[in-house]
Amino acid sequence: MRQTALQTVYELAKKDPRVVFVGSDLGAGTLSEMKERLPDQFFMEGISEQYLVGFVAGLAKEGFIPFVNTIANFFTRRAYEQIAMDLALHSLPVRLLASGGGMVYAPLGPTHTAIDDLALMSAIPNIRIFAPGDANEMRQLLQNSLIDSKPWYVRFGKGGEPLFSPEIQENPEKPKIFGDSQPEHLFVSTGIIIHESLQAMEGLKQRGISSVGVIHVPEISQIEFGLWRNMYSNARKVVVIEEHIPNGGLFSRILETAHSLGLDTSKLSRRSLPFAYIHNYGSQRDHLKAHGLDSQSLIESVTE
Amino acid sequence: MEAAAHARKHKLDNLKVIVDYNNMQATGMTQEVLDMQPLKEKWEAFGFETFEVNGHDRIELEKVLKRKSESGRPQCIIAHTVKGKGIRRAENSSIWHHKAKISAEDIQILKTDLSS
Repeated sequence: MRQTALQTVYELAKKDPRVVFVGSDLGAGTLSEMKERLPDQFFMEGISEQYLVGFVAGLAKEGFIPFVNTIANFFTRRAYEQIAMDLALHSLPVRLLASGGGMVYAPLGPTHTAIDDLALMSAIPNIRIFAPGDANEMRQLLQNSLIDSKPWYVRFGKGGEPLFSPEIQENPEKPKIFGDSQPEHLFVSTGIIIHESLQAMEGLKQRGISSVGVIHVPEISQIEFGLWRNMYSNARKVVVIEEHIPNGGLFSRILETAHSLGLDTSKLSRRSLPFAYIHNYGSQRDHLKAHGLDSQSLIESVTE
Repeated sequence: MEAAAHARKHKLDNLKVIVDYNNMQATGMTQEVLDMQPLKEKWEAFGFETFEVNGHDRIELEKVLKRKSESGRPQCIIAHTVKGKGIRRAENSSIWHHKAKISAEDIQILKTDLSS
């Protein structure tokens, strides 16, 4: 997903001189071809995220469309003020490409686990927040981003996720819908959790439970209920699954939106990471499992 | 500090940083609250051509602002100033940093000082 994103930035930069790539200290070989062929559109600036965000705000003011990449937390926690004051206040078209969303960097500990990023970004006006589920969605979101004038925060998965979305998508930011159109159980998620939801749906089907629907929400800054409002209304249980702390993420946005639309919110429940720093050592997968966010846990939540 | 380091990296020879150096913070003197000395050496260490001037001297300021970078490096001008300069009651007074109520007597003194 990250590779696809960076490669997409390079492809866009070839065609559009306004597109620039800015990295912190992303390791040898990152976009080396772009660095060589488009040196005026490539910047590797070192570990200095507060400056990075101010720098790209200046570039955007000058008419460039900067794509900036570093680890998610170093944007959301380290450069929060600059994101709010330099980017969002002026609503500048900068794309923050946030590596390691959720528990991707769990082996590096609580400094690197981005479990509050969606909540932090949601508290800033003007920012659009995305968590794509696969490389196809990522590529098309970034391609479409050139015509949007707002700042973006894009949460990356680990990479290597299976493809679940079409190669060509007209509206990659819109919710994607799978399974029974009038489901009893509805799973809703963002980012890479879609793969767990889809596997759970298959697993439940094998166990004879076919009244299951799955919704993937790539953009959480605005929850579009239009496409799945009937599914929501029909469902007996709607479970929001997120690789995030319980508050301020997808569940919060769905609850708020459902409430404002006058929908029944008593059927809503959430499965998330705890509201705590996670100290246990393990891979992203280990953590999804330990906190009941993997497909097996979802199956059990329905069958038990 | 991050921005200063990058100004040098990108050889911003048209960048001039002006420090309004009045030695005061909202609570008191910088030496008491957070001492930033030696300031000139700090800017120089970050690669800035650094000058110190009297921030109340228009001619001195004009001269230093017109000065082109000779080394291709960014410049820093430390302008020594007095907070509240020209108004006896306000000079070097932290109280006047957030002052919301000004008495009739204050206004009279202000007028006298400004016209002298």
